Parts: sequence; C-alpha cells; structure tokens
Amino acid sequence: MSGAAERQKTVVEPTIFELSSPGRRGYRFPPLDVPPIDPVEVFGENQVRSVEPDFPELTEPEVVRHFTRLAEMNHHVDRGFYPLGSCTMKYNPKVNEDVAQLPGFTRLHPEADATDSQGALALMHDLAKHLAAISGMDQVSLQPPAGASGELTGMLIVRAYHTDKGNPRSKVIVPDSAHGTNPASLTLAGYEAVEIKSDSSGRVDVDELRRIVDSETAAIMITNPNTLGVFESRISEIIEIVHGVGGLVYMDGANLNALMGIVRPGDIGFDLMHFNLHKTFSSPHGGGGPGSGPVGVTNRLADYLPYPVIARDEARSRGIEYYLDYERPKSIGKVHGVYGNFLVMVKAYSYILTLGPAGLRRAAENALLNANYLQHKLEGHYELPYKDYCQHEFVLSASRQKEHGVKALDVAKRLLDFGVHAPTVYFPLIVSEALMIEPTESESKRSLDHFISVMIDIARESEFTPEVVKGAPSRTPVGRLDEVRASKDLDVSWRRG
Amino acid sequence: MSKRDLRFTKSHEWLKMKGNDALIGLTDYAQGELGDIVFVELPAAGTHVAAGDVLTTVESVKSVSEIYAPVAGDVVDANAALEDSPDLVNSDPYGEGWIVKLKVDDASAVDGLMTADEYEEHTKG
Amino acid sequence: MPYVPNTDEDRREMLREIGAKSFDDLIVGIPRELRTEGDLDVPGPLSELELTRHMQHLAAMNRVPDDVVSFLGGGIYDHATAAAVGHITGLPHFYTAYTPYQAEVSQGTLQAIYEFQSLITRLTGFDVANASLYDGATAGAEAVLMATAISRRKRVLVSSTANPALRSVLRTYLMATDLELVEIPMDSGVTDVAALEAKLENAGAVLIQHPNFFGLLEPVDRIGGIVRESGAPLVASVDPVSLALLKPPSEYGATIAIGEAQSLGVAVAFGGPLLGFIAAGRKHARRMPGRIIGATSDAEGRRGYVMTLQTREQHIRREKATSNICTNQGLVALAATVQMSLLGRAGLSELALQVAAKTRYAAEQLSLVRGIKLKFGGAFFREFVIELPFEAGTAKEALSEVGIWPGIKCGCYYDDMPNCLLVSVTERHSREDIDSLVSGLEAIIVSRGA
Repeated sequence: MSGAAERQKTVVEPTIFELSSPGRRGYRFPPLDVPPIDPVEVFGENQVRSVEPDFPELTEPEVVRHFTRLAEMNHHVDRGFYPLGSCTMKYNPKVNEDVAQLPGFTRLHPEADATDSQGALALMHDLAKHLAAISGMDQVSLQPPAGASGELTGMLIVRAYHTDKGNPRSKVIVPDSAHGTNPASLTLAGYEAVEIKSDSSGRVDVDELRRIVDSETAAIMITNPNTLGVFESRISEIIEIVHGVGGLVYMDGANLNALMGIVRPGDIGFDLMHFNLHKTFSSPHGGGGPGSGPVGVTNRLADYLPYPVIARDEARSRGIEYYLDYERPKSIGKVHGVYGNFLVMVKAYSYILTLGPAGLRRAAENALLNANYLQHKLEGHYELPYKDYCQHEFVLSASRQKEHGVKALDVAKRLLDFGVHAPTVYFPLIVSEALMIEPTESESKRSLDHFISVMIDIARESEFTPEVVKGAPSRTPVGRLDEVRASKDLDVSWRRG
Repeated sequence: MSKRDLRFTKSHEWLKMKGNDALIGLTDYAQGELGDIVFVELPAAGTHVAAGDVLTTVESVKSVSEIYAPVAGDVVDANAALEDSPDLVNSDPYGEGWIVKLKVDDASAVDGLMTADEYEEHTKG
Repeated sequence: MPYVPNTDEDRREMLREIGAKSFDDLIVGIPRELRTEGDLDVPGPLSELELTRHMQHLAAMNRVPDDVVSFLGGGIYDHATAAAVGHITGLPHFYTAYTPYQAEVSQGTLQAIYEFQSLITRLTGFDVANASLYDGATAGAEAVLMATAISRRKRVLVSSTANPALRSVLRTYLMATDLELVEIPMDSGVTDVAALEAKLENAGAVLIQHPNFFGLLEPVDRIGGIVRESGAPLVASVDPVSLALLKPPSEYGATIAIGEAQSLGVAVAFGGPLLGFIAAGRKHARRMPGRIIGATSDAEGRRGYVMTLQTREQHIRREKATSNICTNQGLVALAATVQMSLLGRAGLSELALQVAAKTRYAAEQLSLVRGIKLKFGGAFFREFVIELPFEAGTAKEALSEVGIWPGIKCGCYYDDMPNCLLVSVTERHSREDIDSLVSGLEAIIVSRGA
C-alpha cells in the first residue's frame, strides 16, 4: 500500500472548538458558600466585558479523548530513538516525575516563610552545590528558566564585572559554529558579536583569535565540545589569550553531557557557564519547555549572580538553616519572576543522586561511545567532514546524496517513516547539508544498529529511488506541510467559519 | 528589462539608474538561493544610507537576509506591492519585484559596481 | 546503572568495531592535563527506594495548604486543578517529546499549542498570541522590548502598582539596552494618572497591571485614552481568570497584553515552572517574541500545524534578535489548555465569580474587625490590602503558629506599607477558612491591646 493511501485512513483531529457543544461542562465547583456578587455592581459597567470569552464546552471524557488522540500523533523519547544533535534527548527517568509530584513541592507557595520551605531551599542549595562540583565552578544560580536565559544572565554578569572594573567593554567573540542564541543573548546584554571562524579541524582558529582580541574584548562564548562534536583541544591557549586581554571565558554548557566526570570547565579556566538541566540532567523537554538554565561562576563573579541567592547558615543563628539572601548590592537583579523552574530542579537533583559520581561519568562515557560507534558505522555512507573521534555527537553532510537531488531535509523526513526522529538539520551553519546526530547514553547497541541500518537504507534509496526520499514522509499522520502558506496566510487562532 | 542596464553587487543586489534615482532589488540568483520570499520589510522614505548600510531585510520561511545599499543616497520610495505579494521578488526579481528607490548622492559611484557579465562570473565562482 | 543499556561486553564490542583499544582512545582530543582526576564530589548512587525516601523527607520539611490555611498570592495562586490535567501532561507522548521541529511527527504538540494560542486570544481580545513565555515577569520584559521596537522610542514608563517581580525582571532586561526605565507613582493604590500624563511625551512604552498588584482595578479607560493619544504602545499585564469578567485589554487601547497563566491549571510549585503569555494585534505579529504555531495543510490538503514566522526567532536572527526566548513552556501551556477546556465557557465564568465573591466576603468580614482597615477604596478582584495597627510580620508569625498564613507582607515591596498585608483568596477557600482568618487576626489584635 502506498504511503499516501495508508495515510488516508488517519482522521484529522478537529480542534477543541469544533468538538464543543453548548451546555456541556467538564469541571464542577463546590456550591458557593458566601453571598454571590454582581460583576457590574462590584466592578462598574465600564470595567466589565460584554461577551463571555468564546471557550469550548465539553465534558471530561471528550477533553481527555481529544488530547489523547493528539498525543498519539507525537514522536517521543519513550517511543523511539531521538538523535537530535545538541538537544541531548536522553531517557527521562520515571521516578523523577513521581517525586516532582509530591504535594510538599507542588503546593509550596514561593511566599511561604523560609521556616516553612526548608525542604525546597535545602534541595536548591544542594543542587547548586552538586552542579558546582560537577563543573568546577564555585557558585551556581538556579534562577534562569532556560538555556537562552542562562546565556543572557551570564552575559549580564560579564557586563556587571567589567563595569565594576571601570569599562563594560564592547565586544564578545563567538565561533561561527555557535548556536544562534549565543549572538542573540550577548546582543541583548549590550555587546557586539565578533564572529571567529573555525579551522579545518572544526575548532576555533587560535591564530585568528590572537589577532582579534583587544582591550574591548569582554568575553568569548565557547560551546565545548562544540556543535561539531569536537573538543576544543587548544582550550588552554584560547583561555590564556582571552584572559591576557582581561576578558572572561564563558562556556555554553549545551554539550556538558560529554564532560561529566571527564573534564570540569572550572578547573581548566572557564570563568562562567550555563547548564541545561533539560539536556544533561534528564529533565524532560516537555514538547518545548519548561527547561532550566542555571549559571555557574567562579568566586570573582559571584557577587553579580541574580538575587536571591540560596544561602546556608549551619549555625542556625536565626533558627533556620537555609534562607534566601537578597542583600546582594552588586547583583544583576532578577531574571525570573520567582526562583526559576523549581520542579525541573527537583528532577535534576533526583537524577544526580540516582547516578552518583560513577554513574555520571558512566553516562558521559557511553554517550561518547554511542556517538563514535554511529559515526564509524555511517561514515562510509555519508560524508563526514570532520574525521577525528567525536565527543557525544557528530555532524554528517548529505552532500553525496545531494548529487542525486536528495537534501539533508529529505533524509530527515525519510527517517520519520521508519519511526526514528530526524537529527538536527542544517546546523551548524558551517557544514552544508548538515545532519547533526547525538544518540545519548540511553540507547542500546540494538537501537543504534537499527538506526544504522535505516540510515544505510536511506543512502541506498537516495541513489536508486531518490523520489521516495524526496516524497517522504509517507507514513506519518500528515505529509510535509506548506510552510510558505502558514507564513503568508497567518492562521494562529481558530475562528468559526 | 535587459540585464545590460543593470549594475550588481557582490551581496546580490541589482541597481538600475533613472536620472538621479536608482531602483534596487534582489538578483535572480539570490532569490533562487533564498527560496520563497514571505516578507519584505519596507524602509521608511527619507532615511539616508551610506554605501554598504543595511537598507532592509527580506525573509524566506527560515532565513532573514539583508539588502545592502549599493551606493549612498536617500530612500525616496519602497515597493508597496511587496506588502501583500512578497513573492514578486521570486517571480519577477528585475521588474515588479523591485524593493527600494534611492535618490543617489553621487551617480558616479554606480560605475564602481559590477556589470552583468562580471556578476555572472561572480556567482559562478 | 539503570539508565545505561550498554553492558561491559557491549562496550568492548563497540570499541573493537570502532578500532579503539580503550575508552581513553576516544578522548585523545582532550589533553591529558585537562582531565578530571578521581570521582566527582557528589552523593549517590541512590536506589529508587532510597531516593524516594529522601525526597519525601525534603517534601515533608515544607508546609503547604492542607497543613495550613494560606492566603498567599501576589501573582501566584493556589487554585484547584482538574484531575484530568495531570493525566494528560503525564502522557510521555507530550512530556518526553522535544520542540516540534519535525512537524509531521509533532502534530499533537503543535495542535495543542495552537489551541492554547486560540484560548489566549479569546481572553485578551487580540488576534495573535504566541506559544507562551517563561512567566508573567519575563513576558512583561519581552513585551516592553516589543513595544519599543514598534514605537522606536526609548523611554519606558512602568506603573509602580505592577507586580514587583515583573518590575525587577524588567530592570534586569533593560540594564544593558539604551532604554530608560521610569516608574510612575501610585495614588490610592492605583496608577497616578496625572503623573503618568506628565511623563507621556515621547514615551516608547507604558506598562500597567490590571487588576494591579494590590488586586485593584486600574482606571483603564482613562489610561488607555491618554496613552493612545501619546502614540506610545500600552502593555497591559492582565490576570487571565479576571478576563472572564473584565473587559479585554484590546478594548481599552492596549497594544500588547501579557500575563501569568499559572492560575489556570498549573501548580504553585515554589514559583516554577510558571506560564507567561503574550498577545497583540495581527499587524504586530512579526514583532512578537518567541514561538508561534500556525495552521496550514499538506500536499493532499490535510490540515496540519507548523512553527511559523520563524524568522522572528532569536536562534535565526542571531545578533539581530530583539528577544531572549528560544523555547516556550510547552508542557505548562498544555496543562493550561486542558484546564481551560475542562472549565469551558461556564466554568471559567463561575471560577471568576466565585473568586470575586469570596474575596469580597473576606474583605467585608475583615473590615468589620476593630483595628483592621482596608488600605484602599475602589473595586478589587482576587486580593486586597488590609492595614493592621502594628507591623504585619508580627501577625503573620503569630497566625502561622495556629496554621494560618494571612497574606504577603507589603512592606517587603513597598517601604511605606509596613503594617499592610496582601490577602489573596481563591475558590479553594471555604467560608470557614475565611472566618478563621478573621477570628485569628481579631484575636491577635485583641491580645496586643491595639
């Protein structure tokens, strides 16, 4: 049966609004036990809305069935391989989800006194301590709610540090392989991005770096291992050069999974970095959030961290051990409305405790092993632009397939037909037709072997039946969608008729 | 329109003089590389730009590209038709798909731009 | 190691295939002197049983409603969440999926977010909403960046009656930009309209909160009128529950609506994850930060959803970006979407009416107590400020001992309000809960002879 014919059987799920019928309700409140109010009388006629919001009307089973049907249209980690480069789609342990649902965490109000929130404060304090131990940083703030927020926080700390020393400086250096959020974050922190090219091994061109640094260099932002999956082996020189002009060295921790127990960024001279708890520390990605992007710094930058800081008073001089310290005159201020994504922290904390020191190292080792195994098995079938052993991920190019008219995007879409998620495509920008593959340590050899055989099949199809690859996917709930139309005829909110 | 009347830049703009005014657009080669154009930001008339300044941006589904001023001048007009039909840049890049009209400061600066043949050579390289 | 399938035998075999003698061969690119010696200084490993016990112990060190009767709010509210919400967000199809980069295998996430956007536009009265932002505070900061990009002016006016957390985050976001932040004072608990008017000339954005931090309704028609005349975009920070009853921001001249939607199906969870939202008119869609989902179709005409207008987003704009959000709060937005779907039209209104009625009852009963007065006149929704004859912390501590948290000390945020408490009420509070607050406070006042 052809793919299109198979798909005919799938039924498009209507929107929740189309499923609505007047008069239905999915939730009931207890009867009101105080006198009712009349909104017009209480709020005044000019404050009250004339028409109720046009919300759908459904019963609970209808709502549950609708969202369950939607759920079934998703690919997800529990279902199959998800080799998205730089996203670290590792398994999300179930016990983490369970403990994050304890009412002692979920129902704790952030304005509860420190006396009444010692458990949460202790957890945050210790998670920060563990992240410091893993990274070699001295102090960690858990407040940034996502990676990009961590980057902004880091860059504002850089700015506060230099300003304190008399001159905020004007430039931050980023490699051309950097994720787009790096230049975006440093720009919002008032800096100008200076792009530095990669050398033929995919690493920062150290001679070029030497030429471009000067007294206006506030910092360099480095992803290590970088987005090509290679370790910046001349990192000590890079750090020395930037420190030599008084600049700071920031590590984008997106790829920290490769380093746990192997290299501590703080030990080798990084001044600050951010973590992605939703990548390295197994908290689920949630279909795009919530994440958590803590920032670690060495002692000389600690005064600038966002407030409040979770502090510990072992002597309990005020009767409590953990408290929120707002007395931080040099702090950059708050970057989140409260303390950050607390429940994500609970999951990362559970993960670290479950693995322990040996387990963390073992996770990193197996992430590297899995990536190298895939790289080795696939390099005969796809172009491998950088041939060293990789770290936790590697980048292939579909340039050979392109000779048959098959692009990286087509390979990605064809993978979906085999129940495998696509790699990250067209990134990093410095590799044409890039396919960026990160297996993580959660995959078994059997799962990797399956992926390898599918990739080889697609390489063969690209050569002999390229139209199949170009027409993919055919077994998914929908085919390739018209993105031009989506952009031109903007429909972002359902309207009747 | 004959491409012989046009001058070109390395950053893939074309320019056509009409008196002291110059029409500026994106080359056929560049629109092909970008794919479907879904949005063109139109600059406000009256803005003065130096050669090499960003005049405006055009967007395809997944990329934003800048249009640089080939020569210095004042923006006198922008192609309002692109507001509703940005795809004119794809379908008629040297005609209906023009983007900005510039009152050129110094017409002799145009001589420094590439000819059609030179541009063709440039895109091959 | 329960989460790493490779056995030692697998490892040997894979290394052999790769052509490496040992794992160390694979990290040849990492100079030896940079490698960590010895074990990381972290605890563990713990078994599932040990971990659960430890986490239960930590959780038990926190006091939460059910142990106490809490009237804490201030932007984060302890509403009841329908049971079905957790069951949907607990489906691995949703929570273990990533950003919907491959639309064909992410239609569930994409359609759910499209429905979230549709619900937010219905609440706010605008055409376009995004897929969510981190929280109400960062949404405020993003909205101000968006508003000044529209106006191309540099001076930002923010009312001092807006949530202190929002103002604090806004200060951080603007500290390295060329935007100037000016706070507008309050008069009787609401924005001082005359002071606002005096600062409006050449303003690049105005941000107000309605109902404001004290629960008070702002004079939005007057504010909307004068701000519109000035040409500055008005950013309205709104409470989505209140919008069941109150006029949507699109109707009083706001250009952008933002807010915190935690109150719709999301746990208070020590303040995170929360759920920021943003909405505006269609003509400003290209200036909106963050992810937006759009409907379209495939080649066979089947309806489907994609991330759209992606060129606005910071990972594509790179150094040209004007926002700091790359992801959204996907799973949290899903929770709110399920909760809103279950509440439905009638449920949403009833929720808002119950909250309003109980808040009013609480305020009336408290104002009858000798020594307590309502700090401000004027209409309020979901919370209100009371003034005690002594420092508010005293009452808070004393009542905490009998299991009542009477509210937030306003003195933490406003120096001139040391004796004030911000009391917040939700549909969870029974009449008895409220009566216990009233009698508890009365007892303290009597015992202090005040």
